[in-house]
Amino acid sequence: MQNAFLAAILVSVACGVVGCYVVIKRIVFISGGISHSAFGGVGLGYFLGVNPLLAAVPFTLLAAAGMGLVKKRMEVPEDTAIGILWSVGMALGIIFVNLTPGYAPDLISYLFGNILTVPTTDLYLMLLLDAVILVMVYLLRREFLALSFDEEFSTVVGMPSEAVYYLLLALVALSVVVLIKVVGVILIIALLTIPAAITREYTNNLNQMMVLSVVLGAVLTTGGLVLSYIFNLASGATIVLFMALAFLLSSFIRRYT
Amino acid sequence: MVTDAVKIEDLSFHYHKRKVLEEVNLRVPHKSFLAIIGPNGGGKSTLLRMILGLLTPEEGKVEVFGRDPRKAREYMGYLPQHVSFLHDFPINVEDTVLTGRYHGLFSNYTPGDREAVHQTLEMVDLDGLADRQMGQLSGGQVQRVFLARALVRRPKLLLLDEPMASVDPQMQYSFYQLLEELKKKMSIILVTHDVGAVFDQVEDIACLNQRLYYHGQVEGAGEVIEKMYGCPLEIITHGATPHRMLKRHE
Repeated sequence: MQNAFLAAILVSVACGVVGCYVVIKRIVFISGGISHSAFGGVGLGYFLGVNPLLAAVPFTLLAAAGMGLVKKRMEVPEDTAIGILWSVGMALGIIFVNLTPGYAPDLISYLFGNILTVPTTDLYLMLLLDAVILVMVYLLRREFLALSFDEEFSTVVGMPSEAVYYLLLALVALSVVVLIKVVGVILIIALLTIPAAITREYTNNLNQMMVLSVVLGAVLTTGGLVLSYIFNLASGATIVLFMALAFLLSSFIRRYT
Repeated sequence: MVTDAVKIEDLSFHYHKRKVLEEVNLRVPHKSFLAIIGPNGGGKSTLLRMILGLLTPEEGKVEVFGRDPRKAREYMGYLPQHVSFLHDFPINVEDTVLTGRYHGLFSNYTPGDREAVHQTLEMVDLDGLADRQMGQLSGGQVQRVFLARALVRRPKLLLLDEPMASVDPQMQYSFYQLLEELKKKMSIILVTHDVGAVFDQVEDIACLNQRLYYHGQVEGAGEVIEKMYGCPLEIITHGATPHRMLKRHE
């Protein structure tokens, strides 16, 4: 249970900070594509006999780069390309698992998450990835803000905006890996959008929005965890539904107060 | 020898197999004020994007102050036609204009940058709104913020893409007054399909519809514009300033 609470805090950092960019840059769909394709990395981990979460890091980064490349360079409509890569990632994961001899333990937890089974080694990996995310955001905060607001103008003032865009997608990829064990690849996008979508309504400052999103993410994730424990429900799904309820409540309050 | 602000030679460009620009040649001397006019889809914005280095020519050459446009961005200020942002995007006026002072990866904005932002906001009559959220501004105010963002770089070449698209007549008047001041210090290229609005304001005009039909003094452009648009000038210019055009035609 202690690991579960620590995991809840660690995911809040990733989803709170990176989720703000996902929401304001309007890259929810591409982030959904990245998170689903991460399953290919999990399958690769099983196939190679290494920690699936560890294998998901390079795989998800590559998937993010692929999606970015398609958006920037190909003449295929963006949503079509993302839809294809999204399914290809998941299909690869299934094939890798098929090719792996024997039973694949915990496979379902990578799809739907299980915060109660996060081992300490995964916590260290999540901590490391959170640290990388925070350092990247601190160093590139000006670039990410300008890019999210007006990408074309960012290019005109001399910013390597395409490279910065790839780095932003890399942040999403790293966040996805942090979140996999908690809610699973299928539900990750909820954590990357809901806390930031709620706090956007209450502040006009990006730094404040990030801090609030981290705090709110921690409260909602642990709240969902406790509820799942009390009612004996799947933790990932309960966390997501609890967050969605908070979003509805917040929207209602903002509208009628 | 004084270098031209912009020099374009034999420029051609296709977009999705459709010819957009064909053998365009254009020289814009420094500290001149040129309006590029032409019908929608005539290649005006494409040409502007070539000058900005956002598109690469397939054939021909574009130079800005004698350099490849991508290496001359420090000299350019740019006001885009539309910037689509969320109404609750977490950024205020000061930080928006500050992005125009971008120095490069990992470089902080300096107190001098913030000072420049405040001076520029004053220039566009937005002093006092520095802390205001972008989503809380009117269309005209947003346009002035983006003009400030272009000017805060202290550019030698100002590029304006349909700057009057979301601006009321009062704002148009003060906008042109400001441009009148600015043209003493920098070259200005204004792209518009609103012929009437520019006729009394600019010195030179370039008429573009895939090819460059005319480049010269405003006075001689009437017939070419009529041919290019395929209708009389009165009809083209019917709108904010028809009286001026009718008078010119009498």
